[in-house]
Amino acid sequence: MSSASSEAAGSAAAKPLEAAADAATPTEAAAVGDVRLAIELSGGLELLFGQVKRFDVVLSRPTGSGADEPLKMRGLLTWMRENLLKERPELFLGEGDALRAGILCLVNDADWELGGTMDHELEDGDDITFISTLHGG
Amino acid sequence: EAGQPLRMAARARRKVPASRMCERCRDVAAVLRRPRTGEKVCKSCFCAVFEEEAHHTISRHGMFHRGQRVALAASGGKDSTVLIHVMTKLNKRYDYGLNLFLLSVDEGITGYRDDSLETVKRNSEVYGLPLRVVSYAELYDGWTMDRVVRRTGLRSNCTYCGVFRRSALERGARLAEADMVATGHNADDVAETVLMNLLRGDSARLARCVDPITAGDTAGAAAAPGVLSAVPRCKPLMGAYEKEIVLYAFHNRLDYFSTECVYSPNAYRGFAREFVKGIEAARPSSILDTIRAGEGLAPLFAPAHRPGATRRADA
Repeated sequence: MSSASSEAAGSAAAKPLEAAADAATPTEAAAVGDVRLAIELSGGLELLFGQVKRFDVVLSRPTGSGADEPLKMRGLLTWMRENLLKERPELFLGEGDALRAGILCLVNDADWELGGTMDHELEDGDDITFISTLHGG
Repeated sequence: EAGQPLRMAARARRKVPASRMCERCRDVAAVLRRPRTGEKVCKSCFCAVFEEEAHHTISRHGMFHRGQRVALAASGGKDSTVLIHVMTKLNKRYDYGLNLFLLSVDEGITGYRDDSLETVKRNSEVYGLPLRVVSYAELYDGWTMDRVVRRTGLRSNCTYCGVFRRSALERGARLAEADMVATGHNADDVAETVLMNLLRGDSARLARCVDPITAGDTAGAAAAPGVLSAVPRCKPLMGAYEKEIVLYAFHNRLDYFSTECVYSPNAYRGFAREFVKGIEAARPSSILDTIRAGEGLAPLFAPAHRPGATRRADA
């Protein structure tokens, strides 16, 4: 995937990044304010993201009223729709870019519910996993 | 991956607040809040309680007896993979004394079933359990689902498939001389089934669908002519939320196949499923509550209570 960049005032702005389908090496140390995340997709979700199961991304914390706000899950989901989703966004996100019911989200292997779901704060080094449950057993 | 050491170092510097600790062992950070109880549990306490509850469901309903040949219905999907994993563990841990093997049905759906069967074969190797596969092609004179759909189109194909599969499972169970068939149905499945049967006014199914053990009716046993009762079936995981099944599989790194069947988009169950997912989000206990409502309704629909119903000789 080619590098994506977007500038959006008041929401999570992304630096030019590499979405790695293989193990890409980040060569420079992250600058202050960078949030490095690993995003893993399973349960068939990779189909919506161009068959890629894992992305290593770097986002910047949103800036508002002069101070850095924490990056929240809702910001990441919007960012994912704008930069990573390849097709049928409605199978991943619902109204207001909320995660579709039936898709589980884990932050560092812990259910996102434990940290406030959409308001879950994301920190540098977090692993985010999305697992779809919407298929036969 | 190269970036991982940096990220893990960043994470290791963080402290876990007291409110995020496991409520069982109080030793490690919690990884989920159990839908049924709201209890926060860590990975090992979660796996332990998940397995304990399955064991409790099995013993409370007397699902198995020592020495039985038990066919584990295996599709390669998340529910059957967890079923295989848990049954293998519990059989050993609690000395059920069961002779376990895998039974898989090949409906003949190109690109879906052939891939998931590869997963079942891997399961068979990993758990060391013999595998028997029965196919629609053999049983139904070449009528694979691919061929059925070409003839019927995409309406009602799931209905045909459901009937054929139950019959195929029955046939396979007989050929393998199984005493019991265990399926991976979870609480969400049972709740969806209760709602579906209610919405369709299917009183016969409403009477049976919440039973932990079903013997099936003579129609289901039609696969074996001359035999009155089908091989009984049970659902060891029927008390488990689908979400917990997925998380159990995740935390145990279980290998399963996850793609939507290509012929299923119009299935009626899809509507029931969306609805159940929605109410679960608002009120997680709804799933078990719906099942409890189904259990309350079931006796009202049993054949003996239906006006004008005649008794069957083997009822």
